[in-house]
Amino acid sequence: MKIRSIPHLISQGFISFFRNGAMTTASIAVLIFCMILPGTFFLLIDNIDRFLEGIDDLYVINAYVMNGAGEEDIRGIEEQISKIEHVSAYTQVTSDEGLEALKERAPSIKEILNRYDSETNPVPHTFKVEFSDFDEVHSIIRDLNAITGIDEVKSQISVYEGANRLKSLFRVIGIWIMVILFVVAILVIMNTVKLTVYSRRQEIAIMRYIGATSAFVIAPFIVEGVIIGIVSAVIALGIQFCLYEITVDMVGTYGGTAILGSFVNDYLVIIALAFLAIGIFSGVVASSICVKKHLNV
Amino acid sequence: MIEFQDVSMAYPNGTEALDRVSLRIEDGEFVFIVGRSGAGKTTLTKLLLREERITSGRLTVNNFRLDRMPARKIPYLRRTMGVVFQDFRLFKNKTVYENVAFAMRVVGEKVSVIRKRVPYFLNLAELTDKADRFPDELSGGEQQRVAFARALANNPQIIIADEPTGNVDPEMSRDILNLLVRINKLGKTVIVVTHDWDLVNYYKKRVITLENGKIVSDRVGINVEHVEQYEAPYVQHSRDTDSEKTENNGGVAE
Repeated sequence: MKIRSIPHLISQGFISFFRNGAMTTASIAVLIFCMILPGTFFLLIDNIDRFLEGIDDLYVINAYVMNGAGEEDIRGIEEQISKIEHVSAYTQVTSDEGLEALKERAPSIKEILNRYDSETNPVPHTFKVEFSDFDEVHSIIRDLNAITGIDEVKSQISVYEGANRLKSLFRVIGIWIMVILFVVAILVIMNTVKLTVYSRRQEIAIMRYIGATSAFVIAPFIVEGVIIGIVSAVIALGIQFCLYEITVDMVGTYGGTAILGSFVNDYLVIIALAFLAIGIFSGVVASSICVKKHLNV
Repeated sequence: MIEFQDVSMAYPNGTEALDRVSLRIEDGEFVFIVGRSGAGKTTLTKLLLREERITSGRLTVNNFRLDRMPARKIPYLRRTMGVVFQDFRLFKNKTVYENVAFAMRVVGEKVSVIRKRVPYFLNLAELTDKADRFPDELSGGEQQRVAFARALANNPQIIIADEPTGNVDPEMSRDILNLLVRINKLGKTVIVVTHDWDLVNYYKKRVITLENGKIVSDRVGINVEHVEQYEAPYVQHSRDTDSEKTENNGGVAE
């Protein structure tokens, strides 16, 4: 096939695209679903990650020392913490510093807090233990709890684990929906291309008699599949954008900052590329299978 | 050049369509291939176009060895031949001009060349004034001439006409054959598959007669004794008018 034949073949693909109105629309509709549903799950998962990143002290375990512990006790506890495996760092917040920090965080109860002095301060001396690997967090908590003088150990592990379970669930559902819809999309596009093959059967036979190569015969069908894929991707991107913006408006902001990520800044490029890839890939695969099956080329 | 050497061809159901056929058609020849239905004419045409493969023997067409040619070379073989069918097989949604131009587009011809050559072939087929018409707006004879113009578009060495007069009236048949003779005079090899004995007899060209997959006659003009067995009325008619036709059309009949 010569390069100068390409414009002609592309135009033939467009002609077929418009000729099979109903089936082309059906193919595009299924492909749009095939893109939007996994796209939605991707956005959900990414926003859960954003939520986790926004949690203070996610990678910190707070170990509260029993009230009344002396400096000697605290030094002993510190020594034991320093020996715990997988602890990347730790800092200490004295009772007084903790009280001051609480006053800043909760100005509404500042007056009540002002009544406490060093002797009556209820805020315990705290070790902020940092780690880098969530897989080791349970063993660190167990070791901290085993230290005499530690009253209570608190972490965000339950939030992290809950969010991760949700992410895994969304990921599995998203992948399965994508796989099922992808198969459906392939079948529908194959049907659309089959219509073109049948409507052009005689034309194709004549083309063969006058020496058309297989590439020349096949190319318009592949182009048709690619056009279906690209059009679906563009429409799906538009719908995904609108749905996301509506969701952003509904979720609102927290402290003047949007809770959800920005579609244009954070997701537009990756989703556009993913949709185009899904669209073009399914279009090419469906057309190729169909042409191979019905044209014997 | 076309050369069949001991060519046999059997269909998958066991029907033997050609049985050890040997023949040679030189460049620039004009050949009629005749025979009854089922004699093997269509199979012979299909073999030339590599629509079917031979079962045994050796078949060479325009330097292509068809018995061992890979499928990807078929388009290039077919570009060396122009084929015209009884049912014309034109693109109904294309004009006369576009039908001819499309054949050139298929082989990737430049637009400038297409613009230059299509009018030439339309003129040769006397279709210049019908260039913008669609096939359904033309008579059978005119459609067949479009098919010829398209067959010639890529300058093939061989023109194969499969029952070219089957769908046109007798007067138009003569015009079509005259066009083929003109094409032959351009140096093209012309193969006409037909069972129109009248026409075959009129032109006094090489006639290859097939019967049950075998060549039973290969000579200039029809073999009257042989044909008499199954086409008696035509032959009788041909005999009666033979000398008269030759006299009236001395430039055409040989």
